[in-house]
Amino acid sequence: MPRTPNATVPIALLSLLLTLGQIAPLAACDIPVCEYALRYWSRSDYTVYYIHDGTEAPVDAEVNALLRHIAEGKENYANLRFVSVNATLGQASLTPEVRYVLESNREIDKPRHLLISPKGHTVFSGRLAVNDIQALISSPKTAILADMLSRGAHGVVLLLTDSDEAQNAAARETAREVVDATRGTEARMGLVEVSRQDPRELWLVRQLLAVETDLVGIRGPMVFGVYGRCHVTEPYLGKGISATNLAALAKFMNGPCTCDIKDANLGVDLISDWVWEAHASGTGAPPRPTEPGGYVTFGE
Amino acid sequence: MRATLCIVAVLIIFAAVPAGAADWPMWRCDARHGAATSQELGDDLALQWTLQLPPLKPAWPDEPRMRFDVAYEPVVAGQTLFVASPREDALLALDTRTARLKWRFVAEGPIRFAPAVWNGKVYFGSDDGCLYCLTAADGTLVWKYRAAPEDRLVLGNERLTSSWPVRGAPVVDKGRVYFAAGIWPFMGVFIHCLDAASGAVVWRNDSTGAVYFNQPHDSPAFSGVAPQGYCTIAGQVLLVPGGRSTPAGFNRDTGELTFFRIAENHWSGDYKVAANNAGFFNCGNLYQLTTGDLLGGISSRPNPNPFTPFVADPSLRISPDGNASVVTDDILCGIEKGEVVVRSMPQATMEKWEDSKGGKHTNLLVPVSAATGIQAERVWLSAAGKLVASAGGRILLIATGDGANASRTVWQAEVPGTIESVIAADGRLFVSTLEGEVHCFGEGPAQTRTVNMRRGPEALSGMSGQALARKIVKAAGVTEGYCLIVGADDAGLIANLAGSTSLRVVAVTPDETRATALRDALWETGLYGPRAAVLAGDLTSLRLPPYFANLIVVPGRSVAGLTAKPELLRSLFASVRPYGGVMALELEAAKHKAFENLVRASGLEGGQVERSGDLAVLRRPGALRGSDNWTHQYGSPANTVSSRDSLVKAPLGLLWFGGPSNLDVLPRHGHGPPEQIVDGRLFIEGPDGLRANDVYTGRELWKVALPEIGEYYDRTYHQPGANALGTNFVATPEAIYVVYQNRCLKLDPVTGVRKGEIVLPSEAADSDKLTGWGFIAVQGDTIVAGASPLFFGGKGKPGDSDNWDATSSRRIVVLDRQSGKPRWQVEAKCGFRHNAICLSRDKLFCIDRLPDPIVQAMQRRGEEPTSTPSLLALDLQTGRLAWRADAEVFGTWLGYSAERDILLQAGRASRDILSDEPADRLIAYRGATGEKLWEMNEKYAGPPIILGDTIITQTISLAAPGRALSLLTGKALQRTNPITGEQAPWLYARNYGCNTVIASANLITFRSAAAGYFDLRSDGGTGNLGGFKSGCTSNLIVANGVLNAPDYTRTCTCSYQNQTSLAFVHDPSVEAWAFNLMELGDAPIKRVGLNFGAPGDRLGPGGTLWLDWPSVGGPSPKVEVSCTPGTPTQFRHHASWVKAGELPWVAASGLLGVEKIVVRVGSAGSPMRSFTVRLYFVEPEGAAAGERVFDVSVQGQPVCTRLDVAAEAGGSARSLVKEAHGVRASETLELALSAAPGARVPRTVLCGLEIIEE
Repeated sequence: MPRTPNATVPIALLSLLLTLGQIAPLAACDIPVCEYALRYWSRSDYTVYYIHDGTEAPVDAEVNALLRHIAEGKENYANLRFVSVNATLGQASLTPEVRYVLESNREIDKPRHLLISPKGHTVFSGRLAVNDIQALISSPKTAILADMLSRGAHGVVLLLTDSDEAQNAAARETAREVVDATRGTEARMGLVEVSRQDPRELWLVRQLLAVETDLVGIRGPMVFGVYGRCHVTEPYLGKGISATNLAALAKFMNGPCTCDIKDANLGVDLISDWVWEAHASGTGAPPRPTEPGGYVTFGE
Repeated sequence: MRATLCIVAVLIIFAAVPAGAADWPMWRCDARHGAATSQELGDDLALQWTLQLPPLKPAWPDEPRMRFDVAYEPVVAGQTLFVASPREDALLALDTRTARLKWRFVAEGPIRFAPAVWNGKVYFGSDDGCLYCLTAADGTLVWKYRAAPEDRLVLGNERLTSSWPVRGAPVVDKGRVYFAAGIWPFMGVFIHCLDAASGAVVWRNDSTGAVYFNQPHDSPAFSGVAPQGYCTIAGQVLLVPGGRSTPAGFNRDTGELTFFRIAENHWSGDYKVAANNAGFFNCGNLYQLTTGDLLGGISSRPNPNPFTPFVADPSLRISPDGNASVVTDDILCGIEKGEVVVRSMPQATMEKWEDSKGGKHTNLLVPVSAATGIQAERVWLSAAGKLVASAGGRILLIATGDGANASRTVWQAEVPGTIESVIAADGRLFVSTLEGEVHCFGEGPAQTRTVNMRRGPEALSGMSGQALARKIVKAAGVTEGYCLIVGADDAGLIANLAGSTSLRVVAVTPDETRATALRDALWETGLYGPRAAVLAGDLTSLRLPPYFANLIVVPGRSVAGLTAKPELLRSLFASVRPYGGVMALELEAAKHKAFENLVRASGLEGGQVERSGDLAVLRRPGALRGSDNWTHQYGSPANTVSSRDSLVKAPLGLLWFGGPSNLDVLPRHGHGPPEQIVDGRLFIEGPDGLRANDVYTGRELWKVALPEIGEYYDRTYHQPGANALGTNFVATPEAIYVVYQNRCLKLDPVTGVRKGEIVLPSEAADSDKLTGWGFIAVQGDTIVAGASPLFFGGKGKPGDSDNWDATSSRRIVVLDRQSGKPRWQVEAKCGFRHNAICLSRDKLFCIDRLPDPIVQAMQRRGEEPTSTPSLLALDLQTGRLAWRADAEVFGTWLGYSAERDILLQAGRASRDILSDEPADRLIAYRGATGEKLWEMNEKYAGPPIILGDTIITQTISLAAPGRALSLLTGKALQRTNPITGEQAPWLYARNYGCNTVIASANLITFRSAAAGYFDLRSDGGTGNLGGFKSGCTSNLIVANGVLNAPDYTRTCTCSYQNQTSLAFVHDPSVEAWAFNLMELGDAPIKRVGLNFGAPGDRLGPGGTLWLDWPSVGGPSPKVEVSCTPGTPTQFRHHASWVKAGELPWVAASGLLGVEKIVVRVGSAGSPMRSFTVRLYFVEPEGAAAGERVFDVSVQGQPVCTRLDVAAEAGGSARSLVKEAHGVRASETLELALSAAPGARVPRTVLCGLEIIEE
């Protein structure tokens, strides 16, 4: 039965705006989802909002400078934006996006960093330190995922383990079965395991648990599909980690691109500093389908 | 270095102004609108006088890009100040020294722009469609030129004016006056160059209103130039501002359109233009003068950001009211970072640069020559080396510095009010304010002279007509809206009708002298203009708009003329507003019976005559025959997505434009509920309230505050899920039912007053949050509520992408409409999708089903839905189950045909819609029994429209056309190709548009780049109503006999030329062009028309589809045509240019000098057939009889020998048709034309070629 609403249901304004700016064909096509996503989907940004009362705290100057540096894309390709928000300004001076963020986070202490996913979900609320940033934009497992996808994996089954080893083992076995079943077929699937307790993957785990709004409170292993440029699907969990469901996931990632626009597809991008364009061009993917005449996605 | 620059600046400023000129003869002083004058101003100015005029209400009160008439905009020549009054339709001439009124001239509509003075004459345009030339000395009319093609009147910005107002304000240069009439491309646009002395036409361009070109979303539409703003002359270029779009460029000598680039400048454009030799300035950008290329911005250094042209200061706006407030070949002067700055044009260089993505840009690098250090808000002008600026309510005179002295403010004065215009002339400064005052500052001691031209109602007391006005109002019972007095001769009656009511009175009198006298008398009352106006004319010369008059008064002296001519009575009655409009005639009792008989004999639709004292009262109480209401989100509770209104059909012409502000309408991307239209009232929702407008005039009837009612739709971004929520109000003739704060309010549709409220029964299972209404529909004596809307915890808010919250309800409760008491309710096992609830007269159909993504989410977590989907048919009165279907329940949509008792299960997959909407299945059921009638499993876009026995699917683009299916069988319907006679699938398509398509009996409406439609009646293709766009909510709704187009585009800043509400009615005289998707294949041609030089296709009489050749107006069936010479000269006029003869829209364009036309009519080896060939001609160049003579042959046989079009047609601009029968052809049909030897005009002409198989 339907669930009651969650208190935090922020808007994925940024994601939407980015989607509007992207051109994609309307009609179904025969390019596999994984290939299309790797080649054509530009990544959606996560946003770090630094919310303050008029001036940025000197103690945050270094981390904010680093975030700005990354956001400006001067040295790497992390899909991260940085927005400094003076919460004392009148409503009229703020963009709708910032107004919404402030409205959704009225009670927080300031100054504070808010990391919001492209879906509008809160990944982190607190003070970021300089040491957090490298881990945020690239973790060991994120790099593995990106490398696998860049080297031609059609999809990766990502198992997020928890403290109950028996549950983990069962989930692992199901995932392996599904991945193994693809061997010898055209599908090239990978399997990556991430522990919730792995401190090196703290930021990846936070992103995964923000894919849906209630995941933080759910224990046990979860299985995500990862495809394209580290685009991660909503997770399977509990009895949902079944061979049938995971096979369907594999089929989706290898199946024809049936969706019109990225925003209509499952999941959300992960943060990474991987230079996707360099890899995407070498996939040998067929050229982008031509657009139907008269159809233009164009943000007003 | 700084000092050097200052010296340079001063020299430049002096060099910039023409020596000796002390007038300010036109807007911003000269034809380039540079705002620089040679007028010297002393340092000891003082207030000389204040002129108080009535404050103005601008045409577009909420449009910051079209503030041309917010305040009086004077000009000066000699010692005369000329002030146009948009409010009182007048041009005032006043003594610059005393403000004494020298003369006043009243036009027949608002004068919204400053006049231009040249050579002792003053020129101005009016919304009445005319350009006037008066002697400057005494206001005598020298000549008057009607730019509009006819006296067709509409309500425009709350005034009864021409359909073609002159809003391309005149500019005079080198003895010629340039101006433009018409602001709606679909009505035609007329750009003119006249000899300023005589008013003779030098050239006239009437072809720019129908051009198929890219709109601001890079998608094409039939639209065109829509002039609003001050025309500008620079070099060889005439610039015609386009309201909210960038200006169009014309060759000033020929009138040829050289550029109009609104798609490339899709966020730019306003009414102000200024030019110098670097280019022209408009809305913050600089453009190349002859091509319209965007040159980028003005800067001191290169610009890394293409979206912010000015790196020096993002606030640097190079428009005439920004940083280029003064524009000459030598200086640019404006405000930069709050400081008055002068830049040197001679030292300017053009820099090209690339952004990080490789985009190429240019900047004009203009060095600063004088940074004055003086803070100001705006620079208004340069006057002989001094600058006039304003800051903080003060007017400043600034002497820019030189090497020895810094810039300084040499004089300043406080100005009460908000400064909106400043000019310098006759040694004085004239400052106009938003409050309607003009202050004059000159040398000499300060004066306190105030000239008050604000007249009051006290003049009413001495006027006659009071008793008659009282009687009329009492008898008619009408006190609001528009009143027309026919044959008026008594200013007292006009004044008393206006003064004692809220009526806006327009009096028509046949006598020009009498009209002037009436205007003079009314001017004294202060009512003239918006409340009472006088037009000279009679019912035979004026084309009044239909339906607009709440009250028409016919005084005694005019009754006889009216009753003697039934056609006049019929014509006048057509202007009476349905749903309660009244005609009151001063008619002797003895003649009443005869009048009753006349009304009966005249067949006045719905007219009811009664007697009231001295008056005969003719009422029009009901609906227009053939019209329909639109009462729910999808037209009716049956979700047909169509209205049965058969009155509205193409071609469509203006009924009114303007109307109330869009500020209290929901934003365009939110997919909020569409307007609903019932009994002459249009109800539209805003973020915080609901408003009712008059369908027939656009007048606001009432507005009620309902804070946050539009909460779920109040977004500026696209909301794919919003129209799955369903409407939160339903309009019926008896009440408006508004879901608001967990209850349903009943509002009086006439007043908006709350008449009651209905509360849903709560359930134990409901939390406080979930007891609300999720859905509402009204059928007969029941209200159907979707109760306890379901929240699935999706991302974002209800209405967002991938959010199914509140798109379904857990319960359906059916209540008694009168008492509000529940009759029955049904609980969903999964959820009742709101778009899948529809009502017949006796049944409620609904689908109980979870959205697929919610089911999938459950499955990801190892959960399964506790129930399977079902489709239910319940008795509307009792809730008893009539039938159910538990298999094949896939739909998100139900629609019902009452005529055929067929229920459709479908999806709504379309653009900007939730991702779970199915797109490849349709099932039809018998409504009474649930018997499955047919199923279709092909791709389509929804929601499907039910129109009679036809289902029309949605079109998304040219590549994804909509289809027609039989409601009875589901089979695709065919059309007969009008060219080949063969059967082909019926298809229609549109260009870019984010709304869904809706329909009426004769029309499908949608957005196709601009507002668009498909003509169902004639199957005539996809056309446009250019000059505005429709909303992302489907807001082009046919109802009550009108195509309603309320402005549902709030927050859109794209450069569609007009952003306003308007309404249309059928008008056969309007041009209408379309594109067509039909394929011809190899089939032989049986009937076709080639309309040479036309902008698009048009279906003509007899079923001939006339194709534009060369094809320029979008897709057309491909008929193979070759022409000699290969690219002949073309001409094109608006159809109104053709004065007489058949098919003016064919004769209005054509080819010149054509020698041969070959049309392929069959494929190789086709048998020989016989054709009738009709040839259409016109004399387009004014050649007299005998001057252009030519021969025409078809298939080698002479058809016309020594054809003299001018002689045979009776002159120029008259169409002539020649016909040949029995023309034999198999593969090709060849037409040969040759100029007769010795003809003075040795060029042939051909407008159209019609080929009909016999």
